[in-house]
Amino acid sequence: MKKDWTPTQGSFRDFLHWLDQGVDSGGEKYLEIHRRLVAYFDRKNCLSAGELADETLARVAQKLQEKGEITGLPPAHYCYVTAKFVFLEYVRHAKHGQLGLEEFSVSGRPGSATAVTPASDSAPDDREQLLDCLEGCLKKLSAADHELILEYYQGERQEKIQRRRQLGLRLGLSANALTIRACRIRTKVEECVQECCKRQ
Amino acid sequence: MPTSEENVFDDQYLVRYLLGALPADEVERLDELSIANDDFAWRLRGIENDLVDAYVRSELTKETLQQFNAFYLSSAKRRHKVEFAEGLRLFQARNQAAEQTAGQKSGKRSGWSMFAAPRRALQFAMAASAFLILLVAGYLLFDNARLRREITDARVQHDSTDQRARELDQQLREQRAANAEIQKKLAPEGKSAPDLTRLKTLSLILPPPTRGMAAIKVVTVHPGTDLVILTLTLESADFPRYRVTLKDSFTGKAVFSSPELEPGPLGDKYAVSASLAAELLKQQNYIAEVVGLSRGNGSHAIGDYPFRVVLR
Repeated sequence: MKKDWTPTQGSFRDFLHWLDQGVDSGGEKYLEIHRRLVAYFDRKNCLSAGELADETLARVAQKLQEKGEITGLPPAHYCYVTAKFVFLEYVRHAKHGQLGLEEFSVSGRPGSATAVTPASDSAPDDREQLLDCLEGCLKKLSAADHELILEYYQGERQEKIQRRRQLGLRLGLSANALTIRACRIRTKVEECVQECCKRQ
Repeated sequence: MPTSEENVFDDQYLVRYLLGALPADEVERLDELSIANDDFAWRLRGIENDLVDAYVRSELTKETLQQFNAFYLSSAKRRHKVEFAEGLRLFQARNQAAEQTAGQKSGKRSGWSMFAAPRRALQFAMAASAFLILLVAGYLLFDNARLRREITDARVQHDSTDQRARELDQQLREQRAANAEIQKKLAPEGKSAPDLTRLKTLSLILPPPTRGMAAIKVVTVHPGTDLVILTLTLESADFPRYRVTLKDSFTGKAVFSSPELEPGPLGDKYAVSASLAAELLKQQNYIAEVVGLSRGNGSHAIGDYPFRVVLR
């Protein structure tokens, strides 16, 4: 894998610009593609999903720098194609035992689960810490986002569906648009909580 | 370029994708969409969030739960999502409890403020109430026959409830007697066993597990409760003995395992009852797993009975 290439400030800026496709997202598009790649590798039970996502984006950035432009496929699609190659290489290396255990899924086979680990055995202290972080992160949200995330994820089954329908009507959002907004906020809070728990 | 085909997949299909339960040839197209198609990527994330929320609320069906335990929880990153979902659920539960308390207080205030209202307004309100009562009384005269019918229905229902209460009371007495008997056997000689009939008990009856979604039972344990009796309804009594294991639904750890239990009739069904010390229970979700024990020492899973404990 090409781990020795490091983007220059200029090439990274060009890469962000290419990902944005003319609409400046302030780096959000990059972060979003990175999240999707991490989730993709994680679903394939790669232990180093974050590193594989970094590797994928680095390869795309390198290709863009070498060629000057990438045409034929939209950026996100091109990233997927590259990710697929990164994953195939990963599996091949895993089969030949050329990489350290920390870089492999246990089975090395796409879509297969690793050994079952029980769910979090978090102690009450850990749970309190998580709740403190969650409260702090929710406070950082705007009042509208704060209200939306708590209401969107409130309730069970039928009650939840009904609540979301009413929330969509009140905010003038389609079900799809409401889901996207709730997911964006949740992702933001989840990342904030993760950072907060790491710090403490 | 991906098209609007992201909408052709139903939610359950995507849940299977997230749980690693789809064949490899079907996975690739979804992998592609999950990165290259914005709408699909967001929809998938929404479904994943709801799936994880359903897990921490013990709302998953048995089959989905098994896949969830086997696949989803095998990744540290995904376990973090579960921890976050559990945190969010706890946070919302605390928020809701705080709001309810605040609501009760404001309710009391508005009650008092009525007495502080100007006397004239109060007189008007009383006059209006009297007029309303007259109207209602007139209506009631005509509606008498319907009410009589409803009373008859209510009596029938009451009798049925009464019968059920008597059955449960009888079971409770039997359980207490059995416990007292066991206690006597276990107590060292010369020491008197505590009077179990004076213990403060709480009974929870859980219906037979269903494959579909069903509302999770909530049991409120008040301070001073000594014993919790779990009565788990069975569709049929196919085994001479049963065993109940209580597990923390979040960690899967067993917190209690019953001795071998004999099934008994409960209405038109059967049930097994297991009693455990209330102090074993914390405020969280549990799953009571029931296995049937055959004469040849074999055991067969009968079902999982999820419930939530709320401590007061």
